[in-house]
Order: sequence, then structure tokens, then C-alpha cells
Amino acid sequence: MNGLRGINGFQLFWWVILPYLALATFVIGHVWRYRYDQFGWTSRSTQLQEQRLLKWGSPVFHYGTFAAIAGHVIGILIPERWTHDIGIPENAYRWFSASAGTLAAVLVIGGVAVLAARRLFVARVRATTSAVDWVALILLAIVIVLGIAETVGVGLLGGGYDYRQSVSLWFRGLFAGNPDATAIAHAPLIYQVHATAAWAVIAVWPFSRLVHAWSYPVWYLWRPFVVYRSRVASRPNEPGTSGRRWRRIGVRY
Amino acid sequence: MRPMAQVCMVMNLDKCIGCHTCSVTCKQTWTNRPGTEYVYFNNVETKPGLGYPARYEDQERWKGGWTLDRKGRLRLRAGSRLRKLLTIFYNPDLPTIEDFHDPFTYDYARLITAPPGTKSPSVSARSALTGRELNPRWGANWEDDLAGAPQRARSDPNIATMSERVLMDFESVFLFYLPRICEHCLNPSCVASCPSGALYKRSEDGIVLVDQDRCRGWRFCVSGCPYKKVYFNHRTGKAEKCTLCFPRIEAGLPTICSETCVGRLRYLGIVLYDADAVTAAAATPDPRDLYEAQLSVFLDPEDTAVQSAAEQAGIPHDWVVAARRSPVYALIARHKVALPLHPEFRTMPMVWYIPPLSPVADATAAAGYDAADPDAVFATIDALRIPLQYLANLFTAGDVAPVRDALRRLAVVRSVMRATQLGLEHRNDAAEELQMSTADVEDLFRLLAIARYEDRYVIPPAHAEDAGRLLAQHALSGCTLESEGAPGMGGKGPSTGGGPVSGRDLAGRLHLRLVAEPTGRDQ
Amino acid sequence: MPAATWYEKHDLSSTDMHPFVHSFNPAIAPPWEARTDFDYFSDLAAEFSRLAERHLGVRKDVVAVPLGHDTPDECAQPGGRALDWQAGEVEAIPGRTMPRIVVVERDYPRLAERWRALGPLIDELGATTKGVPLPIGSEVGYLRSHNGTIRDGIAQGRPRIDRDDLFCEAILALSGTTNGRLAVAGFEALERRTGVVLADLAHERAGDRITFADTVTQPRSVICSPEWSGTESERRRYAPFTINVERLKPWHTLTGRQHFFLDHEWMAELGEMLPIYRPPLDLIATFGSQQAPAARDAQLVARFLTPHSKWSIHSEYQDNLHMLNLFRGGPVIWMNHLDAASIGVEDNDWIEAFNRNGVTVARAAVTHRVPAGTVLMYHAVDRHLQMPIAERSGLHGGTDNSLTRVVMKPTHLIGGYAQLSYGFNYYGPTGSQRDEVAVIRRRSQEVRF
Repeated sequence: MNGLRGINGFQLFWWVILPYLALATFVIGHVWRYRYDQFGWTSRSTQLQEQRLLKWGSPVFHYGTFAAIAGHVIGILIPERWTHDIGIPENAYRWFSASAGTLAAVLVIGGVAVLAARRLFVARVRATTSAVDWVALILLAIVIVLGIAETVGVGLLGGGYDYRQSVSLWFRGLFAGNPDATAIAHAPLIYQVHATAAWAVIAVWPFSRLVHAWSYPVWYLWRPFVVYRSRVASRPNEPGTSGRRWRRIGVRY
Repeated sequence: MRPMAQVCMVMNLDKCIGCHTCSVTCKQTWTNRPGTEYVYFNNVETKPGLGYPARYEDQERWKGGWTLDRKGRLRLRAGSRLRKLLTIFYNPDLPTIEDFHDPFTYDYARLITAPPGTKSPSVSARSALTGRELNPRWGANWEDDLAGAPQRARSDPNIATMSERVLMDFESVFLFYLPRICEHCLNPSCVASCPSGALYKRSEDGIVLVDQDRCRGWRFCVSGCPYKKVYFNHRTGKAEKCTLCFPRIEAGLPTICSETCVGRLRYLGIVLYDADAVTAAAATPDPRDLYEAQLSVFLDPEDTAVQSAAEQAGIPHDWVVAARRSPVYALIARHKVALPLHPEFRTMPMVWYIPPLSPVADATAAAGYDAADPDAVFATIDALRIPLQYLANLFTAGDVAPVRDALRRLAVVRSVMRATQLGLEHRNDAAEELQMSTADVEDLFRLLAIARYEDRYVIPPAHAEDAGRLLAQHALSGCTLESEGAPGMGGKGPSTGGGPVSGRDLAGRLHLRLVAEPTGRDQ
Repeated sequence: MPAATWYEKHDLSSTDMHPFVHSFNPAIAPPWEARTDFDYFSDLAAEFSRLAERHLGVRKDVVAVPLGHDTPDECAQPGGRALDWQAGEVEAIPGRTMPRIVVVERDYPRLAERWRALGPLIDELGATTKGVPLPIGSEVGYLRSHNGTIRDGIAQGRPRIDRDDLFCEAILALSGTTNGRLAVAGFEALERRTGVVLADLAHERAGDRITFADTVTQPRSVICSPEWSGTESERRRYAPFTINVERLKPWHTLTGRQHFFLDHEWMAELGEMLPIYRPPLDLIATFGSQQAPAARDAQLVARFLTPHSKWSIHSEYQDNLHMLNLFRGGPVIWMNHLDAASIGVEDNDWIEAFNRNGVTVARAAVTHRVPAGTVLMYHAVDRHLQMPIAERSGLHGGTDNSLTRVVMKPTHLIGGYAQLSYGFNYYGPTGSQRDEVAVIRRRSQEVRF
């Protein structure tokens, strides 16, 4: 089945080209960022500056986000056929998605509201916010609000929408090398906008503070407590190259 | 036995005048930039007092350092590794910036641009973080010289555990200054608390540092340190701490705080220690035994077995020689006048203190007071103004005996040398009781009173041959310390634009490139 | 005129109590319109001289010169009786019963020319300090070649001192503390006068010369010189009067010894011919409690002391941002906790301190290390930072010295008798200790700047 049949250029752009661009930016951006901006790779915690709001806002937001991400994994990455095969009918799935999703939504929106308000209105926190922080926050807020509108508005309070038949297929299709633009092209607008906003977040991710998510230090669980380091002999970089080997001239220094 | 070497410091509190030169010079060198306005790698506290940050010594509240679990094993007071991972979004034990110091500046421009005719303009304090008006309520040195003490100093954790009442009235007033830097502990809880492993202890000299590339801003090191000597840079979002001025130490120079100390009260030297013995010593059940336990971890550099074990372990020969000359080892282990700060935190601190003598509190009532020789305080050590128990709570987990002995040794040196200089008769029984020979008294006198620069700082330069190369390459290779907000490498030196290839700058200083890789040699 | 500060000019610094001479060197140029004092003086002299040509010309001035310390004038009025020629008690004899009357010729138009050069009188008269003559000799030639000479005018051929660093060079060349030859020569002159051995004190450094360039490289140890009363060497640091005590150089007193009995009439009138304990002035008896009429119970009357802070002597340089962050960020008054409680003051509250002389506003540092009945305000705090408008005056509060006033003691005005004769910057009326009494009250915690 060719998911690109009968689509116009507009649809090709939004549902195929843009996603691939975003993904490429995501990958290459992370490679660049990890190699060349270790110093900027941090959670940029502001707990020192303000604690009371952070105390609830941050854990609630983060755990809520994990729940939402788990929901996305189940809903988008796991094919509908698998859940059906293990005996979960679509209706049950829909109610689970709506209720668990709503719970996650409440946590996420509650958390992000506290955190965003804190960042906006607490002078000390605002003072240490960079431009790209605002960009990431705004994009995140858009994605979250749209996602909640879907889950609560459509899934819980509305008639429900079986996005697994469309959005999920399209999404998986991108990675299977068989993008199915028609699938998403006929989804409700709110799902389309949510997906597009998500691509924006993905494209911006490697250049923002969001990279701290990859640094969740699970390895701490098995690391010995005290770390020693010794100086090791190293080959010095060629002067003027800042270590970037592609700047090297001629014979190895 | 696994011998390792560490650069340690001793501070002689008998001589600290609380001038804060050390704080200012350290700040000018390391923390004079946005993000670190509230940070004092070196600070000086007036004791009795709450310190900086407020009440940092109360680990029931702040959960820094280590404690023993029911089975007598060491565990971080703040909780297990899992707890840290679960509370990574909000660290419940983190002090706020107000606990430290809400840094302020002034709107100086208003003074210069005030319209003509303004009667002597004056400006108020503004937050260095937000630019808004700020009414200072606490700071890094709020209690200088006992300001506010009757109100606040009673909450000093060292007083809380004293059975005798500490009087806060004019007749019994006492104070001394406590300058503090990072302890560069043998069993650092900050390193243990860092989930990403960004903090590390250097094998060669024991200096504890934060890898600015690896730090991810989880801020558990800040709460993990019981001395609260790791700070969070609110601009870069990374932790920073006292570096023991490692570029200077590597060149054989003393730290900036030591170099500029007006009172000449700091000592720097090598101590050899047995790395295998550290954990067991830190887990000593009774906190009052921790002082002796830590002493037992130190290795005697005069012992030829230790010397050969050290050299076999890779410690260079000149370092072993320096360990033998070490003023720090002499004060700590030979003369036993220096004591650790809060050993009950179980981190095995490596900046020790000589407790301060003080005048006899009530001469008429003090037992053993000799009005004919008021300098002879040997017999009245227990009646000095600064309560022995207070010093013991600070330095020996409450055990008064070692503090008493240290003070008596200082008193003996004073009375013997005074008598010698004035040509008077003196009795040696006090010295003998403390097992101090004439040579010991003279050595202590020379170290503490004459205190020559070359005697106080015995720092062997680092060895370059096994380390890598030269500052010239290092600086040009895009050192991360140079980027915005970072500590910086200290301006343009001969290394920029192609410096000398020899590895030494024009002042003869040796420059090393620190390329640090985790070795996996952990405890 | 906005003046340049320490690190913006060349200058010298030294004191008796620390044995080094330092230079100041400009780290930056004086900013905006500020200039060095030396530049101002030079420019003023030049402009003044130009105007004086037309308006003043050469004038004769009559000057009353006080009977001088370390001169024979000290013996002009024996017996310590201060007879007043104005009241007819004694004949008016200049140089004996009244100051010397001296006619001085002031060549106003040539002021600038004289300012620029080292004048000729020093060749004949030498330089004298505390009555000790330092025979200036080869130094003038040295300064001629080192500094250059004036080309024309009345100072032609004289060494130039028309720049601050050249002026410093001259000071260093003409002082025994920085010129070993002069130190030895000065001690030799003293030896002839006093009959005791002294010149060996400076022999060790007889050949030493400290130049301005030397002081720029690093502070230099001063040379033991008759200008000071103590010996100074690497082995033993300066303490005052050691030359008098150990070498038996006579003290600069009537008897040549330390003596405690002063038989001047005015000392007798105050009952102070021998050293005696005098309590602090009872200012409350003199001026009343000085409390404001209302709410007296909320006003503490206390001794007001203005000590040196541990970070400065008199300068304001303790008020940089680092030091301000290391305490309370502005002016502070220290008071005892019991006193503070009696007027409802807590640590760090805003308080006002006032008396008949003035008012200041500060934060209270409440402590038990200050005795009750006394408050301290350390010297010289910048009143442009954190100094609110005072409730009492409606203006910004003053400094610690707004509440103090110089109270001259009459016996400080004794002159013309023995060692109590006037010496420039040496002996004369001094600012007395500024013991004061002030009223402290807790003010509104809402402050305006």
C-alpha cells in the first residue's frame, strides 16, 4: 500500500518532509551538541532561586510527563493488532486511554502551569531563563495543551477518536520507510496540529535544555560511591583546531 | 595498604583576625562573575554563630555527610541512591539562596546621574539576580564580630549540645573566627552524592573537583556536603566548588587564600594516607573515636617501609621528600595541635585547625591561675573564655581531651619560649607531662610563631611526564573553562598566540593539561 | 575640583610605624574630568601667576611666626608664665612675648616659576627636620642631572620638580630615610650637638639611595635616620624613642629627659601639672540628655564612640561591593542587646542616632560584645549607599562624625614654652578625642532614599 498516493504537495510537506527534517535535525543536532557543548548540557535547575513552587510543580510535571510518554508508547508505537490479540477490545482501550490519559494530563498541565507561571512571574527564575528556554517552553506548552484537548476533549468528554488507525500508522510508517501521509491527512485537525507541534519540539530539542532528559542517571544505582580520576598522557590537539579533527592540516601532529 | 598522597591544609585559629582578605582574594580570582555572586569558596565565620549557610552544621536538618546504618555501614545521610533518583526533580535537602546569601549591588548610575541640586544622593541595595530593590536580611558574613549574636547565636549547633549554659553577656563574651574552604575529604560525600559522577577526587593530590562538562545540574552535591562547600552556579546551571587553586598547586604555589592570608595562619603540605583504610576508619562506630581513626589512616613519612611502598605505588620521590618536610603532617600527627572540623560527619576532612587560646575568663575564680605569671595558662586551660566544650563540639565530636592537650601544648610553647627569650628560669614539667621535648617546643615555635613562608608551604610541583602536555595546547584547544559563565583560565598569558613549547611560562611556572578519565579505581 | 584617587597618579606613601616607602602609580588614567592634585596645583599656580602680574605684583607680607619647637625660641618665656602683652601685663617683644613678626616678600607673578623648581636656599640652609639639619650637598647636582634643569626665568639652572614623579624623586633624594648619605650626615650633626654616638646607626646603609624607580619596583625598607626617634633595621623594627632611651640622645624637652611635671600656668590652673586621671567629659551635665521631647522612654542616651573599623583606618575604601556584601551593606551602629531591648530595637532594625551636632541613620548591629551604655559607629562609611532620609532632619543622614565635634582642650593651645612650643604638624592644637553622647531611637522601618 502506497501511503503517498493521491496526496498533494502541502500534505507531502507537513506529513513526510517536515517529520524527516525534524528527525534529521534531532539526530544530527544531538551528535553536535554532545560533542561540542558538554558545558551547556545541564538541567539548569533553578531550585536555588525558588523552592516552594518547584517542590510540587517539578515532580508533578515530570512524573506526569513520564505517564504521558508511556501513554504515547502504548498508543502510537504498539500496533492495535497486538492489543487486540491479547484480548483488549477497542472500547476498553479507549476508556483506558482516556482515563489514564486524563490523569496524566492533569498532572502534566498542573505541573507545567506551576512551572511556567513560576518561570514567568518569579523574578529570580526569570532572570536565569535564556531565549531558547522560552522557545522550548512555549513549544512544550502548545504540545501539552493540544494533547490535553485531544485526550480530555475528544477522548474523555467527546466521542473518542481511534487515532491508532491513523496517526499511529502514519508515525510508525515514517520509521518503516513507508510513510503513510493519507492516514494522518484525514485525522481531526487537533491531532494534526498536535503532531506538528511535536515535530517542532523534536527539532528544537537538541538545542535546548531538554537534552537533560537523556542524562537521567540510572547508572548511579550501581556506581561505587567515590570516583577517582588520574591524569593520563594524551596526545595534544593541533594548535588552532580546538580539537576538531576535521580542521587538521596535513600530516598528523 | 595503598599509599596515596594528598595536599592538605592546616589553619591556625590562634592567629586569625577575621580580616576576610582570604574571602575577597578568592572571590576576585574564582567567583567574581554572574552566577557566583553569592558563592564564597573561602568564607570566614564568627563563632559562636550560625555560619554560612545558616546552621549548616545541623545535619539533622540539612542531611549532609554520612551516617551509619543499623549494621554499622556507611550510608549517605540524605538517603539511598534510589531515593536520589526519585527526588531528582526536587531535592528536599537543598538550601535556598537566602540561606546562603542573597547577593546585592547598588544602582550606582543613579548617583552619577542625579540632577544638579540633589542633596547628596543615596541609593539602596538591589538584588544582583533581579535588579529589584532588596532589603538584606542575611548574608555570608551577617554575624561578623557577633552582630546579632544574642538573638541568633544560641541556635549555633555547637552550643545546642553543650550542657553548660553559654552566657551571652558582656562579661563573658568570647569569639573567634573560623575561615573555611572545601575540606577535600578522603571520603567525600559530595562525590558520593553526585548521580552523574561529575565530581571526582584526583588520585595524584586528592583535590576534589567538579567536571564542568559532565555535571548535569542535579544539585545533590550541594546537599550532600555537610560543610556546604559545593555551590550551584545559577547562570550555568552547574555545580562549582573550591578547587584548592589546583593550577597553582600543580606549579608548587600555595592557594590564593593562603598566599594572601594576612595573619600567615595557613599551612599547606603533603600527607600520605592509606586509601584502603579510609572506609573502615570513617565507619568507626563512636564519633569521638573518629579523630584517632583518621590519624591512623595517615602514614608516617619517616617510616622507610612507607617510603618504599609510596614510591612503588607511583608517588614520585620528591613528593615523598615533601611529605617528610610537611608542616601539615607535623602539626597534625607529630605535635598533635591540629584537629579536624566536625569529624562526626564521617567524610574524613583534610583541612584541619589549631584551636585558639583565649584569655582566662575570670582570673579571681579560675583554679590554677597564677597572678604572678598570667601567661602561664597551662593549669587554667579549662577556665579560658572560649569554652573547651564548644571547641570540642567543633573539632572532636565533643571529646574535650584532645582539645585540652592541643591548647596546653600551645600554652607550653608560649611560656617556654617567653622564658627563653627573656632569660628567665622556667620549669619543664609541663612540657614533660605532654611529652614535648625541647626540640618539639622549638619546632612548634618556628612553625607557628616565626611562620616563614617557605616553612608553611611545602608543595611539590606536579609531575608532567606522565600527564600530557602543555598549557599552550590546552588553551588553544578550546578549554571549556573559557566559555561564557565559566570560571575562566585567568586572562591572556604567554600561552596564547603560540607560546613557549617548553611547558614553562616566563615566570617558570609549569603548566599541565589536565585530561581526566575515570580510572574505575573507586572505593 | 574632582581629584584623582590613589591608583591614578604618582605619589609616595610612608609612615613611622611601618618601615617601608611605597609609590603610588597610576593603574588607570584619572577618569572623566578628574585630575591629579599635582596637576591642579601646577595649573592653578600658572593661572594665578598670570593674573597676579596685573593684579598683585610683588608684595610684602607681614607674618606672625609662632615661637618654634626645637629652636631657641623655646626658652623665650621662662617659668611657664603666660603673660599677655595685649592686657599690658608685659611688654610686647616679638620672638619673646609674642610671635616673631616677619616681613616676607611675595613675588606673586613668579609663583609658578618657583613652584616648578628646587630653590637655591636649600643649598645654603640644608633641610631641617625637628631641629636637625641635614646638609644637602651632592643631592642638588644629582637632581639636576636626573630631573633636568629649568631653562629660563628666575629658576634658571635649578633642578626641575614640575612633574609629580620628579617631585617624588626630589623628596626621596632630600630625606635621610631614603638617602643614606644624608642619614649619616644628619646623625653626625646630631652627634656634634648632643655628644653621644649615633652615626653608626646608619652606617650599614650609608651608600644606599632609594629612587622613585626603586619604589615602583617594590616597596623599599627605609633607612634609619635622625628624622625619626627610633632605630630601624632588618634585625629590629621601628619603635619610637629607642634612640633616646638606648643611645641617650636627649629628649626634646626642657630638661632633655622624659619628665612628667609641666609647670606651665595653664596646666596648674587645670590641676594637670602631673599626669592625672581625668574621666570623660560629662557631656550630659553640659548639654543635657539631648533627647527629643516626645517618647523619651523610647530614646536611649549612650556614649557614642567612633572607632576605626578592622578594615580601614580613615579611608572609605572598605565600602566596595565585596566588603559591603560581607556584612550588612551599609552604615551600622553597634549597640548592646540590653540597651537595644530597652528601646525595642532588634538586630538589623533601622535606627536614628542624633544629638545637638547632627543626625545619622543606620542599621542596628545588636550584640553582647559592646558594653551597655555605649554605642559604636565605625569611622568613615560611604553615605551614598544605604543612607536613608532621616526622620529628624528630612535630609539624608550624615556620617559617624555628624554627631561629633572637635572639642579643643585649652592646654593644647599652650605655645612658646619649652617642649610645648608650636611645631608644624608636630606639636600644636590637636583634634581631641571625639567622645560624645548621642540619643538612639528606633525609627520607622519604612525608609526613603
